Amino acid sequence: MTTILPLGLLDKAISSRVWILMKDDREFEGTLRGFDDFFNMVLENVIELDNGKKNKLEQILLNGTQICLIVPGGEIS
Amino acid sequence: MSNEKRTSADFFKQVFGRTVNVKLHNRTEYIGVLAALDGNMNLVLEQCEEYLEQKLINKYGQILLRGNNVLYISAKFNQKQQQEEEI
Repeated sequence: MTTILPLGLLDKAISSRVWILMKDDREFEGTLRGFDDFFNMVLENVIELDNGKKNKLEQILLNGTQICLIVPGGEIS
Repeated sequence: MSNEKRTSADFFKQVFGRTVNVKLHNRTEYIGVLAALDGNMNLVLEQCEEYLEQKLINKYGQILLRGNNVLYISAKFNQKQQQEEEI
């Protein structure tokens, strides 16, 4: 069984939708355009969910320090 | 939309001089023109408005924002078009 590294999985998810959960119960769903070693991410066509409020963003650079979970192909609940 | 991998460095290059919306971990938002940005997400914004919960609370000519506070940097393209569509 070949080894899959975390950043390798993320690389496979480029150009597809990802669902991101932050440490403080915020969620982001967007098309993954790129990332770096610190898990900073460039996302497009983003939906931000914060305390039940949804916000649409065209393109963002999301700071990786607070990212908790990334679900490739996932959607905001 | 291109399918090339776009890293944070590419995002930086594209976003200089544009109006950006920077959201901090404490939910404060800053909308201003991006004058400078580094790898720590430290920012210099000009003609900046500070919003808390969608309400304008302050305006600044120039600010230096420390990157550790930044949750995301959001850029708009086709700004005027977007506003017209919303109306």
